[in-house]
Amino acid sequence: MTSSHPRALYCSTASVFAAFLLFLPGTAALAQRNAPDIPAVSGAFAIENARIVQAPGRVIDSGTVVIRDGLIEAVGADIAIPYDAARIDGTGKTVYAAFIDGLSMIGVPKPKQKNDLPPVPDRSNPPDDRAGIQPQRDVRTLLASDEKSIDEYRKAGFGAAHIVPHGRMLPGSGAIILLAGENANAMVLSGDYSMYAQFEGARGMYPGTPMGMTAKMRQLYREAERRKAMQMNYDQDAAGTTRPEFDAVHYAFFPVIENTKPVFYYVDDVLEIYRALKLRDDLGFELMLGGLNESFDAVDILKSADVPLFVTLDLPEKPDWMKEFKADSIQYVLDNYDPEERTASYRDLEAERRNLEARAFLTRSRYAGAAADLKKAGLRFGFTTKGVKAKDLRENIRELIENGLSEDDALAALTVDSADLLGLGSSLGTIDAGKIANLIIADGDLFAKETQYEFVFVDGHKYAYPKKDEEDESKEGDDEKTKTKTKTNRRKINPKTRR
Amino acid sequence: MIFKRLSLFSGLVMTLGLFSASLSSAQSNVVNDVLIRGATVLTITNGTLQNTDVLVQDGVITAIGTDLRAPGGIKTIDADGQYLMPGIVDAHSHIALSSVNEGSSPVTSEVTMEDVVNPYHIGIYRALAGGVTTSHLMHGSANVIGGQNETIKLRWGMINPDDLRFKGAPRTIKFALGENPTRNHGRRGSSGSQPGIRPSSRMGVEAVLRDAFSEARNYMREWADYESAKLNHPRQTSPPYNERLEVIADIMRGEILVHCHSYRADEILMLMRVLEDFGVHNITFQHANEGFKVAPELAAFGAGASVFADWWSYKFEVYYSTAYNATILTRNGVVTSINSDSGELNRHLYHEAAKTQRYGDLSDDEALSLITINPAMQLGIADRVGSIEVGKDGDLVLFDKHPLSVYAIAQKTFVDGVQYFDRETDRDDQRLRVDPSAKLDTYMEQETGVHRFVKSEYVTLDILFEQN
Repeated sequence: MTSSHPRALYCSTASVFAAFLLFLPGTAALAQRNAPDIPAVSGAFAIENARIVQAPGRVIDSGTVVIRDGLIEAVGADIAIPYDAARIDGTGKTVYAAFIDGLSMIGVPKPKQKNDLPPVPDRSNPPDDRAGIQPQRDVRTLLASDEKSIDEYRKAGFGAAHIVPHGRMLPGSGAIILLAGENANAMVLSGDYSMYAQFEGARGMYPGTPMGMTAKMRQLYREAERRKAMQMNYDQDAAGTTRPEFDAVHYAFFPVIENTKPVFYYVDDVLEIYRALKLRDDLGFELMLGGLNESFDAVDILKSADVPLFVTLDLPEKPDWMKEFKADSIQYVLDNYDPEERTASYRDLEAERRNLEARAFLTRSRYAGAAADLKKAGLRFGFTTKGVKAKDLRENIRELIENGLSEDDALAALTVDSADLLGLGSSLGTIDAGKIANLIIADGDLFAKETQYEFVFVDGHKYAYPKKDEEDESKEGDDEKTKTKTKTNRRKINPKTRR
Repeated sequence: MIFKRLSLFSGLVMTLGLFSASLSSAQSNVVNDVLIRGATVLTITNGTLQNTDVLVQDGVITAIGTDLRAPGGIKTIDADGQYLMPGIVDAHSHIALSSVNEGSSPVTSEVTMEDVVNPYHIGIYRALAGGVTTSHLMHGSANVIGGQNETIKLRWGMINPDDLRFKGAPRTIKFALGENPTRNHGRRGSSGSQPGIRPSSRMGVEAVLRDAFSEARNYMREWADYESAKLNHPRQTSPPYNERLEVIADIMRGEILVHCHSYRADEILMLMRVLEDFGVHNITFQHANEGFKVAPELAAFGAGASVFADWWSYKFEVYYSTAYNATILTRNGVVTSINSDSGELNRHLYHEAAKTQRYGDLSDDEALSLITINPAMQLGIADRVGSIEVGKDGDLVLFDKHPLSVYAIAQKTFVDGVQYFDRETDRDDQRLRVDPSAKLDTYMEQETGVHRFVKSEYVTLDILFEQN
C-alpha cells in the first residue's frame, strides 16, 4: 500500500471511514497484489535501465530484471522485455536482492499481557504453558498477514524472515516466511524450521533463573531421548510392549534429537553464548545462534563452534549524557583516555569522569564493531532484527559500517550469507534467474540516510513506497491541518475511546 | 605415593588447561613461572620458614628453600621482609554469579552454579586484592536442597566461564535449614498472593529432606531393576529420567559433598541424623553459629564447620552465637574454616582469622588454617591448594606485614603461578567491561549517592562524612 492512497482520502469524514474500511483484515489483503491501483494483468514486471547488484561485488551497470509469477525470469545487461510485462524505469536506480531477517517476530501478534491469571497451585511444578515451555507450538498458526509489522519491515527492505513465536524459555517452532501473501498460509516458505529457545525465565515459578533453564533443558532433552527410544521400540513391534504415552512437549524434541531440526537459541549476552554452546556440547543438538550481543568477547569460541550466526542489529541505548556529547568533544575525550590512570577520585574528579566517558564510548564501539570482528575472524553471519524498530534499522547498519564492516559485507549478511546459513541459498539471497523475486529498487546507495527504497518486490508482488519529499511538495503546509483533522475524525468514529 | 599420583594428575590438568588457554587469544602468552625470594614463608602445614625462596614453574610449586636458582629468564620477585602465604580459600561465596537462587522449588538439586559463573564480576578482582585465590561459589539458601556449587580459581581476565573452574575439584551441593526455606516456600501464603507449599516449619524441612532422599533411593532401585531386567527382556520399558534425583543419588553414592546452611544446634543434629539414615557422610555445616554447642557430635560424625568470625544476631534463628565458635570447634577436633559469604568480608579474611587469636588464643598456624588448608579440606581440594608445599598449585599471596597483623595489606596475588593482582600497578578502573548504556557515575558519586559535583570542582573527602 502506498501512503498516497490514504492521504487522498483524508478530506472528509466519510472518506476517512472508507480508509478505515480499507485497513480491515481481508480488504487489506485484496489491495496487496500489485498495489496500489492497477489490477494485475500478467504477473510480469521488467525493471529496465537499472544498475543491478546481483550479489555483493557482482554488479551490472545498466541492465534489466524480468520478473514473472513470483520468480526472477531473467537478469542481464541485454534482456528482451516481454510484451506483457509492466515496465518500471530504473534509470538512476539500483536493484538489490531484498533482505532476509535471521530471527524476528514479524507478522506474529504480540500476545496481550494477562495479569489476571490465577496463581499456579504449586510454583515448584507449574503447568508447562505457564512456565513458558511450549515447544509444540507452531508459529505458522500464530502468523497474521494483516500485522502492521509486515509492511514496516518490508518498507525497510526485508523480503523474507525466519519468524518465531513470542514466549519465554521454549516458545515454539519457527518458520521461514515471505513478507507478502494474501493470508498467513500464502506467506509460509518453509515451516517447522527450528525449535526456538531463549533464556527467558518463568515469572515467579520454576524455572526462573538461567541455571534453572539450563537444567530444565537438560531434563527435557534427556527424558525426550528416553521416550523417543521407547516409541521407536513400540513402532518396530507393538506386541507385548507397554504403550508409550504421548505428550506434546517431549515429542516436539524428537526431530531435534534426530538432528533434522535445529535449536535456534537467542543469546543476549556473552555469557548466554557460552551457556547455549555448553548445552549443545552436553546434549548434542544442531545449534543456530541469534542475537550475539557482546560476541566480540567470544570470537574464538564461535569460530571453533561452527554454528550459523545471526547478529543483532540492535545497539546499546545511548544514555542521556552520551546523546548530549558533540562529535569533536568525543575525539578530545578519546585522545586523552588513560586506561592506566591512578588518581584518587577526590583529587581529580574531572580526570576520572573523562576516563569513564572515554571508556563508555570505546565500549559502545566494541558493540558496533562486533559484526566487523566476526568478519575479520573469517566467520559468515546473517542479521536478526529481533527487538529493533524497523525505522532504526538503517541507522544501526550505518553505525556497524562506521565501525569497520564493509558495505558489501553488510549487504552479504542481509542477503546471500543469510540465505545460505538458513539453507535457502537456491531460492533467495541474490538476483539470479530462477530465484524468488524479492528485490529492492533504491534511488541511491543502499545504506545512505537519504536513500528511498521506492519499490520492494516480495514473491513477485510490487510494493511502492514513493519518496517522501515528492509527496511533501503537494502537502507542505497542510501537514498540521491534516493531522488535526484526522485526530478529530477518529474520535468521532470511536467515541468510546474517549469516555 | 598418593601425592605423587595426584601431582601428576594436576600436572596433566594444568597442561590441558594451558592447551585450552592457548586457544583463547587473550591468554596465549600467560606467564606462570615465578621465583619469590627471601620471604617469610607461612607454609601452614610445615611451620614458618624465615628468609626462604619459593619457585613456581608451569603453575606448580617446584621448590622451597634458600638460595634457589632461577632457570633462565624466570620472573623473580624480591620479597625481603615480606610474608608469603598460600592463597586464601573462601568456602562460602556468591561473587561472580549471574544468578544465585532458583528459589521457585524446595528441591533444585538439578541446577548448577557451573552454568552461571560470571567471569566479569568485579568481585573476583576485589577478592584477589584480599589474597583470595579460590572461591566456593554457592547456590543461595532459599531451598532445602539447593543447587550444585562451583569451586573456582580467581583467574581474573579470563572470559570463558569454563577457564575459571577449579578443574578436578569434587562436586558439592548446597542444603539449607531453618527460616530461609520455610519463609521462601511455606509462608508465601500469608501475604495472600501465593499458595504456600512445604516446608513451613522445621519439621517440614526434615520431611522434605527425607522425602528427597527416599525418592532418590527408589529412583536408583527402579533403574537398577530396569538394567538387570533388560538383560533378559531387551524390550523392557525404562523408568522416567529425572535430573533432580540423579544428583541426589550421586550424593548418596558419595560423589557430591554437602554444604549446608545452618544456624541452630537442634537443626545441625537433625541433619546429621537424616544423613546417617541415608548413608551420607560428606558434610560441612555452613554458618553453624551454634556449632560450638554440638562440637563433639560434629567431630564424631566427621562433619566440618565453616563459620563467621563474629557475625550473628541478624535474624531470630541466629540471635545467639559467640566469637569463640571457631576456637571451640577447633579444640574439639572439628575441621573448621572461616568464610566470607560476602563480597566485602572476602577482602580481609585474614583479619577475620586473626579474630580467633583475640577470642580463643589460636596459634598463628591454627588461625591461618581456618582460611587455607581447612576450607581446602572441606572442598576436597587440599591435595592441590591450602598450603605451601612442593607439588601444590602456585596459589600464593604476598603480604607486607604478617597477615594476622591488623596492618597487613596484600601486595601480590598469584593463581597457578600467574600474577593476577599487583598493588603497585592497581589501576583506578579494573573492570573487564562497562555498560555503555549506564549513567555516568564517578566512584565518589556511586559511593555517596550525591550527584551534585560540578565538573572541574575540587572536591575533598569531606563529602563522605557530610552524608552521615
